[in-house]
Formats: sequence, C-alpha cells, structure tokens
Amino acid sequence: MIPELGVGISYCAGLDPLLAAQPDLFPVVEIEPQTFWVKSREGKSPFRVYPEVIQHLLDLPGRKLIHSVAAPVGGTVPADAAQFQMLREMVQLFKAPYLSEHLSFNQAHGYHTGFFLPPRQTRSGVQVAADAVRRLQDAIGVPIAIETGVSYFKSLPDEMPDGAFVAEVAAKAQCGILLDLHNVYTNARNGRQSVTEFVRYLPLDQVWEVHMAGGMERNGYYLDSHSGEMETELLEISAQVIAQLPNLKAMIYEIFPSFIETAGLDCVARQMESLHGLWEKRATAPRAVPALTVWSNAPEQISPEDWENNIAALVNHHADSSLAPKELQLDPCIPVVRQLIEEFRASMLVGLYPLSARLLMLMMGKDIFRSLLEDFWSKHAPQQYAAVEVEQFGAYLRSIGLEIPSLAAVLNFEEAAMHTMMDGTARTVSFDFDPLPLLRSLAEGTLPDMESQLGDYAITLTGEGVELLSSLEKIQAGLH
Amino acid sequence: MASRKYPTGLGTVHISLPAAVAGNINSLSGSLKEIAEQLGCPKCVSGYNCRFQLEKDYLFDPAAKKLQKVAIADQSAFAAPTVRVNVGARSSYNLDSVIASVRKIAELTGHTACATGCNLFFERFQDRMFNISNTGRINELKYSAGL
Repeated sequence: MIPELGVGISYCAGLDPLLAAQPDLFPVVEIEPQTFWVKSREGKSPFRVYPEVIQHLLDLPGRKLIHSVAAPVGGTVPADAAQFQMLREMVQLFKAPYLSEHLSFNQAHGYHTGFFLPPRQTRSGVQVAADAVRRLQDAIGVPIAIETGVSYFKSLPDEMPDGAFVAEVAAKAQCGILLDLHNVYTNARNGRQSVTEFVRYLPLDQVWEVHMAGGMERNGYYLDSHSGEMETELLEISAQVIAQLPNLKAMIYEIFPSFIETAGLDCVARQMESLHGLWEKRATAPRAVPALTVWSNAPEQISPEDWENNIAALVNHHADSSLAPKELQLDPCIPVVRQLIEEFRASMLVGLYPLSARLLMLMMGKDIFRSLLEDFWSKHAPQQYAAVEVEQFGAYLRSIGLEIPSLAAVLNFEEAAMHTMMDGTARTVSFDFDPLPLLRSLAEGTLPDMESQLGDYAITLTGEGVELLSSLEKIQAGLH
Repeated sequence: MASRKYPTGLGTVHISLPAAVAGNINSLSGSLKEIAEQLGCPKCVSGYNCRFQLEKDYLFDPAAKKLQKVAIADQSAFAAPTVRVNVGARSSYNLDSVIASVRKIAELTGHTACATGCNLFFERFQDRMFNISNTGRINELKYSAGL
C-alpha cells in the first residue's frame, strides 16, 4: 500500500534557501538520483556519490520520492544495468514507496540521444515498454510508475492515441502512472491529443503521482522547459483532472536549475502554494469512470527499433538520417529538438568547463564558438553524463590544435579539477605564466587587462573534502 | 595573457587550490551539491536548458560593455603583435577550413605558433589583415604599419 505523501518539488541545489525558509511548503521532496551521481572510468561499479550530498538530501524536509532520469522504459535498448545497484540503494535509503521513470527512450542503437524522445506508440511499442518496466521493477524491487512523456513530433497514422498508449502499457506492465500534466499540456499545445481526451483513456486509479511545471514558446513550439510560472490554462485543466484521481499520492512541481535564477524563489513559492490548492481538489473516493480502450488496427509502418534509430539520427548531427522515412524527415519539430539537444550539450560544457568556454567565446566571438561546437556535435554523439560529455569535448579541442593563447593551460586546469572532484586524487597543473590573473578574469567573464607575469607556476588541485562512495551501505548503516 | 616566451627560470611558484573551487576561484565558494549536479546526468530532459544562453548573455551583454572591454583589453594585453583574421560568415561554419586557413596565415607571417609571440585573433565583421572566404581560401593579404 502506497502512503499518501502530498505536495512537493523536484530537488536541485538552487532551491535550498526556500526549502530551509519554508519547509512546510514541501511535505515531499522528489530526488532525481542520477543528477547527483558521478560516473567514473572504472568498469565494475562506475557510479559514485558524495556522502555529504546524500546526507544533505536525507536532511531535506518531508518524505522523499525517487524519480529516475537515466533508465527510461520506452525503448528497445535496455538501460545501463550498472546503475541498478545504486538506484536500488537510493530507493531503500530514502524509503521511497515506488520508483518513477519515463515512458520515453534516450538510447538509439549505439549512442545516447541527448534527450528523452517519444516511444513508438503501436502494439509492438506497448510490448517493448511493458518488458522494460518489468525489468526495471525486478531490478529495483519496488513498484514502478511510468511518466507520460513529451512528443514534439506529429502523430503518424498507425499510432495509438497518446492516452491509449500509456493506458495499455500500464495495463500490460501492471504499474502505476506518473501523469505529467505539463507534458500532456505541452503535447496538446503542439497539436497532439488534448489533456481532457488523454485522461479519458487512463485507468484513473493507477495514477499515483502528478507533475506540474511552467513552459515557454520558442520557434513556434510550446516547450516543456520547466521554466517557472505555470500557465493559468494548465492550472484550470489540472483542477478538473485532479478531481478525478482517487488514488493520487503525490503532486510535484518541477523547475529546471538554470531557470531558478531567472524565475526567482518567490515565483517557486507561489507555484507551490498553487499546488497545495490543487491538492485539496483531489478525489477522495473511487469513481466509476471506465477508461476508453482503443487498439490501432493499422499495419505498423516502422518497427520500434527503426523508429528509435530514425528519430535519434534526425535530431543529432553526427548520425546519418538519410534513410529515415520522408514523413519523419519533414517533421517541423526536427530542427527545434536538435536545437534543444544542442543547448543541453552546450550548457553541460559551460557548467563544467566555464573558464575554457569563456576563453574560447571571448577570443573567437560567440558565432565562431558556435561553429566550433557544431563541428564537435557533428563528430561526437551526446553523452548521458556531463563529465563524460566535456571530457569528449576536451579531447576534440586538443585534436584540432586550435591556436588560442592559454587555452591548453586553462583546459588542463579545468580537466584536472574535474577529475580530482571525481576521484579525490590531488593533481598538479603546470603553467609558464602566472595563471591567477587569467583565471580570475575568466571567472569574472573578461580577459585580463594586463599581461601575466612569465615564470614557472604550478597549481595543485587538492581533493580537500572530496569523498566518494560506490555503495550507500555505509550511510545506511549509520542511520540504524 | 602571457605571450609565449620561455619561463624565467626563477623557480616554480606553487599554488594549492581545492578542486571544488577551481571553477569559481574568485568567490572561493564552490558548493559540493552544485558541483555534483554539474558532473551528473542532467535533470529530466525534454525541454530547454538556458544555462548556455545565460552564459552568452553574461559575456556579451552590450549594456555591461563586456565585449568592448574585451576588445580594448585584447589590444593592450599582448606584448606580441596580434594578427587579425577576417572569417567569412559561411566559412566560420566550416571549422576545418578556418583552422587550415589560420595555420596558413601563421606560416605566411613566419609565426608558426603562438610560441613565437604572435596571437591570431578571429573577427568576422571588420576589415583586417587577412580575409578567409566562404570556401576557406585566403583571398587578401597585406601588411600595415601597425604590425
């Protein structure tokens, strides 16, 4: 029996001041575990966590839910099984009553897509997803709830309606549903099924959790950007939907970390108050509302595997998409999704190698820097973990031998800092000039006004305070 | 920035810095939670991460005169002369041709690498000493008294 948990938020570090100031707003905190994992280069147990961070997460207010973001259940490529041990330990440590994951895919055959992409909504696709849900449930040992995803693509003639597909997967896999109302609303705004119609297909008593968020218009599409303020229209529709959910356990607001700065914590607090108001509207007794069932009888034009390979290739520069069906090639969302993936990749880079990225942008200008990134993206597939993505970019930069003064030194410095953060081992980086004026200027977003002092300098990056664990057993034992 | 000459041989200056603050060395306030978020898998991904856009705005906001400051600083910062290279707009999307052309310019000026004290600085919209066409060809080469 899953307990009723209440209203909460998807955690990121930028929310800490609000969580500390107004803990009553957060009866639940949802943790996306892989966002705090470090992927090491060692093969057997590649995922590591900082115990200090895990302890901080344990100390956050409210009950905890675990929302996985790296083992989606909508595709034919199995999720990386190496993550299951840590995922299971996270669920146990945080006493999460179930695990939620996305009914999407993020792996084509041979590479990571850099984005959650929509599954093939056919009979074959239902079977693929149900099998993946069962594998995940067996590996983790708690019930699974599947999250309704975003699709910027146009519907194909042989597809099942969006809501019907989710309902069929949930029935076949016997799992719960995480109804992301903002995702469904995003799809509806972009021409897919309406929210009301979507919900008509769902087995409403299997909806355990609802997600809400803000979005934005860009290039003719409404985006699931998690950018702050929820739309009034979404709130109105959600009130009607939530009143039909008799078994709702949690309702979570999502904001992307990079938008906290622009939206502000006051905005987040207002959204939480809206969610508390919506929560009161939830159904308290089961309602006899039969779900619609529709099977598409149209012959399947594309297998799930081909669908995944085709759309992954279309939205990524490095892959050959010439064999994709014309209908998919002409979908107007292709350049939009491609750009969203690029923004994610570039954001990983400026997040982990901020000084190298700034040096490149300030020396080359943003347009040529963009060209550099496009060349990199055309040659290298996205990586799921940011550290691996930027490592790949560093190797690319060295391979092209770009003549940017001090770039090699700054890149070495940042790469060493990252590696030390990932293994706690001290590293020394040599310079033939005093690096501090340059590093300080780049940290301020400028190039230095004065020439650096020449000489032999060495910065030793210490692993001070860096402890990593490949298992949570030690923390679990400490709690008993 | 330093022009590339041989080190002075006065001995090595050692600086010790926690890796956690390396990306933010001015404030010395690296948060392990935020660093872990940067190193890990991005959050639920079906939307838009504006971090890169924020970074570009920060660096190139005309109101903050960041770009102008960079241009002025660039003129005075280098002890060695700066060779400016004008890159055609379309050529800038063909990185291989840009890099090959810049190497060619370096050979033509006798500056085979930055170690000789010559910095190659890209710009797109102003007349400069060299011009790389959209096909990657160097189609203009002249010296001025400034160099």
